Amino acid sequence: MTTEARIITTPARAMIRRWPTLVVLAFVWIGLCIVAAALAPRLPVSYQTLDLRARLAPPVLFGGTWHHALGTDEVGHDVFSRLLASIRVSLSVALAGTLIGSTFGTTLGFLAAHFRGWVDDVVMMLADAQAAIPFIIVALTIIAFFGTSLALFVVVVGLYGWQTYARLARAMALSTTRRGYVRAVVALGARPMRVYLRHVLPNVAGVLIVNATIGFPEVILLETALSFLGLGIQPPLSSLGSMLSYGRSYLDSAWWIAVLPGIVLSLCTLSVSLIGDWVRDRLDPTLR
Amino acid sequence: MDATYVILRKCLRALLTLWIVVSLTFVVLRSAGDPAITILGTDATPATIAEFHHQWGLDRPLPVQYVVYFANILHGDFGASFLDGRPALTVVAERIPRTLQLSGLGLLLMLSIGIPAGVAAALNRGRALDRVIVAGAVMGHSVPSFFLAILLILLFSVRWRLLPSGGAVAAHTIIMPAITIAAGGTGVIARFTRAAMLDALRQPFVRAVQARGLGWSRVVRTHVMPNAAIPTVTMIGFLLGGLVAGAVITETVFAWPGIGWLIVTSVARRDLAVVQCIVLLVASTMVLANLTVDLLYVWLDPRMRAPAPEDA
Repeated sequence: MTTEARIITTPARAMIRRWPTLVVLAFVWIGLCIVAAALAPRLPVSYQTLDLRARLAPPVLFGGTWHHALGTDEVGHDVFSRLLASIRVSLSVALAGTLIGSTFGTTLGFLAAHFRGWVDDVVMMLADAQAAIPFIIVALTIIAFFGTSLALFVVVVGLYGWQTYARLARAMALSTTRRGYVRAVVALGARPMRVYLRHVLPNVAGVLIVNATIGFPEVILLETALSFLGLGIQPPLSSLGSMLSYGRSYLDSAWWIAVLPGIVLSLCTLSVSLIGDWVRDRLDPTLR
Repeated sequence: MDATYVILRKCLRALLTLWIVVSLTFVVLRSAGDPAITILGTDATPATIAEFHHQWGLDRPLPVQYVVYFANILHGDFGASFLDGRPALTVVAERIPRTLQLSGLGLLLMLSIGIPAGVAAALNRGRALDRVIVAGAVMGHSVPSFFLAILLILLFSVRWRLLPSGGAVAAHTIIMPAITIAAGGTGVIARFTRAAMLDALRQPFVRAVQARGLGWSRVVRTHVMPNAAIPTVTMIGFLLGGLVAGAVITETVFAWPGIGWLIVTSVARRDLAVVQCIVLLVASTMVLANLTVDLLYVWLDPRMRAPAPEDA
């Protein structure tokens, strides 16, 4: 490429550079998954419907029929329907978890920045302690003591990574509240609640959203891992993790039950990581 | 004064973290209802419950209970597993060697594949080898370990019947669990080493020593790699956390009789004394490991010997 060509870039070329193929594919895949999750309850065949005449039917390209495009399990449940239902549950739990974690962590971070003193010390001490222990151990302990209800499980998944939000929110709030406009709002008599929600939060939101995107694959993995271990989503609900765990018993006779959710899951975490890296790079001018 | 001060400060922080973890388990234990019933089970007789209350000081005021709880744990008394009534610590201790075997081999694999791959990628930046290594590293990190485990079982146990799908019966049964536990970390190490190497290669001193006539391979070995080693060492501290999480999943999939499998079965059975024992054991191991990494860092990088400035 000549120097001239590099300087004068057409809009199309600039667009290609800004939207690498892999990132576009990642967005397409995530879009497909969201559509699948939305359509799951409207499917003609529920994943709990038995089709006893078509037990252990293989997927279409492996000798199966379009009637069960992705095959069936040993009692004739349709794998495609269960896959969509599982995508729906896994994505919803991960999304709810991320919202809970970011809200909880950000609130603690703001409280630490606002009150300083012992509140700050306690929050930072808890964040350090949390960072020192693998989260899956914390999650297992809470589940051991309090049981496996769906609501509690979502909260447990939500607690993942709260300390990164707390640290970020605290640091950014400390630097933002020193700025002139925040001081002006405070001098005008705004209550702390208003200052943090209306003036500090919009300024730190970008960083928190990037953090959430980068942490999202780990939240999906936490949910699916716990469900895989039988300690997360309980039947009759199905998650990608519990589907994989169920398919483990049929590796001899019906590999597709375990392999299909595994492929979907890997593509999801890969796509979200690609998008997360791309968003971070775009927002960080030092990396350009 | 400064080096000792930094080390003392780090040790104090480690102790503080441990104290918080023990206190939090106390809070969880107390808020989950009567610990006698949660630990002994609902079918415990009133006499055993009364004895438990007395042993753990639950018939005394809360602050005293807290002290007794702490003292019991310091004496290694975590209560008994209600599965067979043996002390929880004994049940857990039996499983430790298996977990050490598996995670030791896993860590060895991660380092012996990840570091050379990262160095090779950095030295061939932008070429095909670099792309292959980076793509492999991203894949290793994105494929969930339990799916990788299932793929390995499907290929090596079901299709080709080369390796057993679980248990710890012969030496070669460790192969698939070790690959599973190492895959994610190898990817992380390779990417991290690559980034650290690229960073070191960009430093002006590299050009300076080259200008003095030092051969390229010597520059890399004696000047670039030691500088890239510093951030990589901190990374290993983080990886230990990943090894623990990996052990939980890998051991359960492959029926490897270590601590990870034990905690999953204990959580499912509500064997709380064992769960609590494992949590405290893992927490103290992690804190000690992080402390070691921190001290190693101080030793590797003289700049760290100055006391850290207070963060605002």
